[in-house]
Parts: sequence; C-alpha cells; structure tokens
Amino acid sequence: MGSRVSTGPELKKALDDLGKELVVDLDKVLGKLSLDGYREVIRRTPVRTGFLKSRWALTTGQVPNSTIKNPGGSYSEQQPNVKIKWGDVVGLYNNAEYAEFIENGTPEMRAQPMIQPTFQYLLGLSTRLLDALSRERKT
Amino acid sequence: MIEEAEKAIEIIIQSSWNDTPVDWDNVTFVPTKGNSYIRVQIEWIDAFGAGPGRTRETGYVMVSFFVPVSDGTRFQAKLIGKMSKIFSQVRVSGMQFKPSRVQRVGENRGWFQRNLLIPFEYTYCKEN
Repeated sequence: MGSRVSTGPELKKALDDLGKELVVDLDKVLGKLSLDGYREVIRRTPVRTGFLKSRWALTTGQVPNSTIKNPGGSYSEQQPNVKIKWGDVVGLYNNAEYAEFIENGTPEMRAQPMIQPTFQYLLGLSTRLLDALSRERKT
Repeated sequence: MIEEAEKAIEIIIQSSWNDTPVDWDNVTFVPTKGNSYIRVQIEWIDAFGAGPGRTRETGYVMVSFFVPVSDGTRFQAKLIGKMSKIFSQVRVSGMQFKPSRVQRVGENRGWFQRNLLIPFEYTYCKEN
C-alpha cells in the first residue's frame, strides 16, 4: 500500500485491494478466535464420563434448542468441522442437559465454569490480535 | 503470584463482609436452612506479557448469592449491591477490578441463586 494513486480508478482499485486484504485478515482472526474458543472451552470442561466434553460443537448455522441426557458410557471430544469466514455468526454450544449446572453451580455443587472464562479469554485475545494486525498494517 | 492476589481478594471480603456466612472454595461448608449465604470462587483466565519484565494475569471473582426460595429478591439485591460496591471502591497494588455484572441462575432445591462476576487484572514484575 506504499504506492501513490493519482486518479479516481486507481484510488478505487487501491481501496478494493485493501478491502480484500482486510477481509482475508479478518477471516483469519475470526477463524483463530473460533478454534481457540473451542479448544479453551474443551480444556475447561470437567470430565467424568467425557459426555459433557463430547457435546461441545462449533456451528455457523442454527444452534439446537433441545438438550440431551447422558445415556452413560464413555465419550471422546469431537473435532470441529466448520469453515468460518468474516461475517459469519459463530455459535459455540453444548446441549448436554446438565451443562448449565456445571457452569453456574447449584446449592450442593460448586460451579466449574467453562463458557464464562472462555468468553473472557476470547475478549482479551481478540483485543491483542486486532492490536497486532493494526501494528502490522502501520509498518 | 496467584497466592498474593487470592489472599488480597480473601482479605477484601473478610474485612468488609459480615452480612452472611461465606462458603470459601475447598472449605467444608454446610448451609443452614433458611439462612442466606454467599459462595466465593476465583477463576483464572489468561496470562501474558505486559511490558518489559511484567506479567498480567486476568480472571474474575464469582460470588454466588443464595437466599431461601419465596423470600423475594430485595434482600439478595441489597447483598449483591454491597459486594459490587466493595470491589469497585477497593485499591490493591497491582490489581484492577473492573465493573461487575449479575447473572440470574434461578431456583434449585430451596434456594434462589444469582451470581456476581467481578473481572480483574493482576499485573506484577516477574522477578518479584
């Protein structure tokens, strides 16, 4: 972006090129935030059978509004399989019936928060990523 | 370093709170039926460099307020307001408490619960 523009069409092309570069950067930022968020929430999920951990999913589509009970057995986490691009609304959800009790605690059980710390983590990370991008663009 | 920050949070609450019993993390606590109580937990989130020789750790204090079901919300709201004010006014070296927010959890086994989340940043020199 160091070249000079002297005509209207050149300016338009320069702005279009910058826009495309920014979208590529923002695609990367959103992709990183989504996957890091997924990893962080998995890392923070307590395990007994692994069911709760196995119910985390990333989506750019509809988040299911029903929950399911733990049918017993043992489980392993799923790898996210979703292509994310700038402008997508990314959902991170868990439809295990008891996820809310683990997150918020109950009178008999301490909370083991998964979502709230992940949210705070992503807030901090997004600020640092955007600062780094901004510094990169200035140099 | 975590030890100092957690100790500071503990002292803040112990020195300013006598409204209800406190259920501290990893300490046996049996609530008395009909008596409101609070539960305190500290969640650590992230750590990163904050300039030469300095580290910043982020986290939040989660205070859960339990009042008996059917007692209404006014007393609980008063407790939440008091705790929020305590953390908004306190100054501790290296610690910065940010505006808190309240989350309604709801009724469960005779108790009505709301959580207060107080984010903080703790900055310290690595050599300390």
